[in-house]
Amino acid sequence: MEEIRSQKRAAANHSVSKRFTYALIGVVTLLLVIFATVAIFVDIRRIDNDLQNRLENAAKLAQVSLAVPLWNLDAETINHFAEALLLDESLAFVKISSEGQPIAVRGQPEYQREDFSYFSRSSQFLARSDDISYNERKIGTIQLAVSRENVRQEILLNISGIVALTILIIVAISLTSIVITRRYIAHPLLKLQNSAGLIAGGNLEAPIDTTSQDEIGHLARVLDAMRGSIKGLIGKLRESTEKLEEYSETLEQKVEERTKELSETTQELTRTVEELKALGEVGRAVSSTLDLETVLTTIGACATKLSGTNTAAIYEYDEKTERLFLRATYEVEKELAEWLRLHPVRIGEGAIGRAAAERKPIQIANVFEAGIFQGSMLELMKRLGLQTGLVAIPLLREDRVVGGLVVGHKTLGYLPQEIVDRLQNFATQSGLAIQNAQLFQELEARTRDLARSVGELKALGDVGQAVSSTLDLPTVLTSIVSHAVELSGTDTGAIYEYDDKTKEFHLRASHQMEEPLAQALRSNPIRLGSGTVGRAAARGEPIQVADILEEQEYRASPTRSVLRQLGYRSLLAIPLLREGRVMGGLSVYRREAGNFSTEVVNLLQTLATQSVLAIQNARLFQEIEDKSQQVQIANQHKSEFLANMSHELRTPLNAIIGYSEMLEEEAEDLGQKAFIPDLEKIHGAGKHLLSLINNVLDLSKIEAGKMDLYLEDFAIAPMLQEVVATVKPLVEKNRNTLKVDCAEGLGAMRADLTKVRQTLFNLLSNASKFTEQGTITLGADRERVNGDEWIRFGVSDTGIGMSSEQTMKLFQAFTQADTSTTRKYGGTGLGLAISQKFCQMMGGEITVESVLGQGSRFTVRMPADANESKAKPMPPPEESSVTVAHAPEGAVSVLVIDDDPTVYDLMRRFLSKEGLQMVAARNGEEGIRLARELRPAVITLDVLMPGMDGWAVLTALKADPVVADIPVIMLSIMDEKQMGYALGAADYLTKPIDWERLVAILQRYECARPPCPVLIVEDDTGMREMLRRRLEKEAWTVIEAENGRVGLERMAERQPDLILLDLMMPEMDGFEFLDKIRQQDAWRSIPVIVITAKELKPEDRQRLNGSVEKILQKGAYSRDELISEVRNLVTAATRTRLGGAKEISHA
Amino acid sequence: MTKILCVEDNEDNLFMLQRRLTRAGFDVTVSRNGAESVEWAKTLLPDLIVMDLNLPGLDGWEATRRLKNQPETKDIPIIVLTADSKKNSRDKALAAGCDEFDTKPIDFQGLVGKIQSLLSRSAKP
Repeated sequence: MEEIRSQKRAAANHSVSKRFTYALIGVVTLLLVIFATVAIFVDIRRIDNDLQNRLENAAKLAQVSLAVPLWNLDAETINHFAEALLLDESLAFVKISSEGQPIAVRGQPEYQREDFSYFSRSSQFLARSDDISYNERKIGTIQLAVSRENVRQEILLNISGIVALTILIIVAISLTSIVITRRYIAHPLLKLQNSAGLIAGGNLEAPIDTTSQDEIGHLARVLDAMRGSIKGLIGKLRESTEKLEEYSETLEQKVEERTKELSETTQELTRTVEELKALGEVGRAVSSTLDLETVLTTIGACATKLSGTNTAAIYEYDEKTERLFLRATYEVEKELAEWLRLHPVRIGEGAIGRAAAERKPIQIANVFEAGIFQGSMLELMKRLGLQTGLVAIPLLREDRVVGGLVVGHKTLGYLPQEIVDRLQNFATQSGLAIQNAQLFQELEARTRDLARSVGELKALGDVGQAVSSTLDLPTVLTSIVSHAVELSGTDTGAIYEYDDKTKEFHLRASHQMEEPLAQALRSNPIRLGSGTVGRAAARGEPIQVADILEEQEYRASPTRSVLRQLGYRSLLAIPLLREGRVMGGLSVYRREAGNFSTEVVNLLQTLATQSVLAIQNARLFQEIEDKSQQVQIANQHKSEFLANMSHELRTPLNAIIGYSEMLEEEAEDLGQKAFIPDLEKIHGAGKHLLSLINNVLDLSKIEAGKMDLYLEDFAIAPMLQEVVATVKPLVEKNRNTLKVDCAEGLGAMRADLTKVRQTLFNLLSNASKFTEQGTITLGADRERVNGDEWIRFGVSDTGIGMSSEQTMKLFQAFTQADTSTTRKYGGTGLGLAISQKFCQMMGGEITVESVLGQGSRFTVRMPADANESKAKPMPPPEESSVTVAHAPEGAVSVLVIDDDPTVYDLMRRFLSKEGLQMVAARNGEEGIRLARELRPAVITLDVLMPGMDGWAVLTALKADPVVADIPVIMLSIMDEKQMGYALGAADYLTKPIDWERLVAILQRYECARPPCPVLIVEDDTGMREMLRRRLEKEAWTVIEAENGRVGLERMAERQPDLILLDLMMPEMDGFEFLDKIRQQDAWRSIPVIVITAKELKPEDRQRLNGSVEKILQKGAYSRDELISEVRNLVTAATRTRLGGAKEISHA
Repeated sequence: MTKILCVEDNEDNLFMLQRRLTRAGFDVTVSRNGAESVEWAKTLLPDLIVMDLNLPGLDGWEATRRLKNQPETKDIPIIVLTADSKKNSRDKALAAGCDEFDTKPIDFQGLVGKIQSLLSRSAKP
């Protein structure tokens, strides 16, 4: 500005218009002078000529007029003539003489005495002397002189006239030229100069007047064009600068991908600081600190200094409450400042509120006279003796009110506008400073928040890890309490567990606790409702003591005195609650007095929740451990009992068997044959009892894992011979034929000879028992499967055979095919179970195929070398038609997909206690593969896994029809239930896992003990058979009934998970059956699928409505279609039912 | 005639055993406790001893051990009979030095077979 002004001044000094004016004046003056000179000269000449003429005329007149008088010497006439001549005022002297004698001498009064010589000598006069002749004779002389005085006067007059004219002209010219140059040259030039100055100053938006058509206008247009191009250039420059910045930013981003957030924060900070630097001098002073309080105080100080006022108050605008809050004061009375601080100002109220509302400064001449202030403030001011005038200036930022500045001055009245302007200008800059400071504070607060939440998250993660990875309660609680103390910035902390019986809290874990305090806490258990922890637990909410010293109530307690001795001042207690039940307490202690922040309380509450979970899990696990220990002990007791029992039984049995045998012998010797059959019965019963005892003992040994194997090499053929010899009497008892069909070269095998022999004997004796007048075949061969040698023994009969239901239960202990069988055929019902176990111990198995009424075939497969094959999987049986191999004991109930091995281990411990089979997958891909292969009852799925994450796995599982219906339970550290349910999860649990809940959920979904029984009520044997075969293949247990009545009987024996029901049946039809089962509470929820050939009438459908899952029309499907439809429905219905969401659809 | 000493505390079993063994042609002497049997065997010098394990006072294992350790009786074969089917009973009995082992209830024919084979074995050298 200064420069431009000086330029202007220079321009004024050397203004073109002045120079032009001067030059014009010079030239005109010169011209006029020349002109005047010439004119005067000409005038002189003219006057001279005139005088000459007058002289000449006078002389001529004298010639004419004086010749005679002179001749006559008439002096009188001559004198008269001379006087007449002098009437011409310009004639100064006349002397007429004759013969040298003057006759008349006359002159104008001033020249009367002058002699003619005087006149002829003086340049002031024009003199002439002429001779007067008469008749050619000189008779006299006339001498005349004319004064040039008049000429001089004339000239002077002329000159003065010319000078006056010249001056006049000069003035005119000057004025004209000034007007012209100003109007057409200087003004436009100045304008151009201004514009150029603005352009130079960087303002490219200022318009340039280009209306003028002359050269200046041209210049202006050129300048404008130049401005345009400069603007363009600057725009381009800006653009390229921006591009450059953009590019550099991108580059930076690439380089600092990982620290992006950090660099952004730094950028933000740098920019803030840069902006602050850019502020003016005052602004710089203000921005030397970013602490808002300091900034505001500085602003206050500066404002008073700037305006020469006394006090200042700075307000900050809070958008939420729409009020201005006092943030800083300068030189304001403490009491008044306190009052102002407590009374935030609404927009539109008071001085600053109004200024903010109007967005412009407001002056108050005297607060007492303004009538806009609150009475209490005025009273206060009056009391303090304060008289003040105010200027209130809103602090605006981008037209937004950010705060206000009020300056007070003791000079009552209005301050000059200049000062107000200055203050307003300052306020604008301050607005920026305040905003920057606010931004910085916000940023700092956010950074702090972020850092804190990162810390908290990490701590929670650690705690969660601790809770998940160990069930050791002290470890978990110590971890929690140490995190609680560290995160809350306290000095020590403790976790207490609540004992329901004694109603006392016991110290379980502590962190950085001095021994005296720990000792005091241990020896003085806190009672529910007393002490801070006890009260917090009783109330169910955190309680804090801001200052122990000031708390009267509990000063007496011994713990308090220890706390005081150790210098603790404040404490916070959080109750540990589970579903409203008190589990314990968490407390932290601090050496500083004061309240705990909400964040700390919240954090500790979160940690308390974790502690609850840890305690709960540990208790649960303890319970399970205890129970399983009890079970183990009970088992041991059972085994011992059995062993003792068998001993006690054997002694009397010894007598029974021995005496009866002895009596038989003696009776024979004595010829008392009539007694023999009775004695034989006693003897037989005794033997049966003995074998029962032996079998029970064997079984209990097997179950207790105490049955030992004595492996030895033996030749197979001789062993078979021996068995055949032993069993022969039994075979012949029912008039059966025994056929031995052994392959050549069976060779030897390595196994427990006794157990192999016992197994074969058992099978053969069974076959003999259940066959009459039939054929029993014993076969043996050697086979090689996958490079392993297997020995296969077959025992087949042509006996009564078994139903598939019977075969299912065949290998279970104490189960004969039918209870009536025992009565009819005898036997303990343990033989097959024991035989199967023996075979399995040696790595083999027994399978059975049987057709009711046609006979059975048992196959024993054993590795040729029991040692070698023990660990190897069994090869699949060749036939699969009616074969129900071993019960699918190993069916997987739960598939756990989780990358964390600790979760997997814990899960296995828990699930195995619950009797659930579990398979783990360590990543998503493996999980999906295993889900397809194993089709588990339930899947648990972690979200955060390396590679494919849980969401992707869940999506893939739900998209695959093979596994889509398996319920998936999400287990994750992240609480994103919405997401989980949206993607099809059945349930969502957050880690650390609440085992109790998990187990409850698993039990809800898990098909408790596969295979699930299905009841088929169908009178058509063919149809029933088809369905049975089909479902058995899917490992379902099938119960059959040929009509409703039988169906009800079967249901009473064993409750099915699903019923397939025909409608048209003899004795009791489907409708009646349905009515009956719907009357029973236990049966009401069993899903029913109706399969019928009946054309259903509307009333039929009405009857079925709501009580069946689905109706399948036999006619509408081919047999295969029908069966596969049933299969699908059975699977779906069971799952749906177990999943708890019953869906009824009608075909 | 072959002399057999039966050691058994259960009267029924003792009576039955004595009667059946006598019927089978043996000269049977009975003893009802372990200590007594160890003493008697020294003077009686039976050809074979049938020993129950659960005896009052000195039990069957200890009696067997002593019999096998005193020079007069060490060559007399001993068959141990017990109602206890536990494996360690059998191992303990064999460790004590018995020659045969049988569980009650006894298969009488089997017992007679074992007696005869033991007698023939001890008669040979």
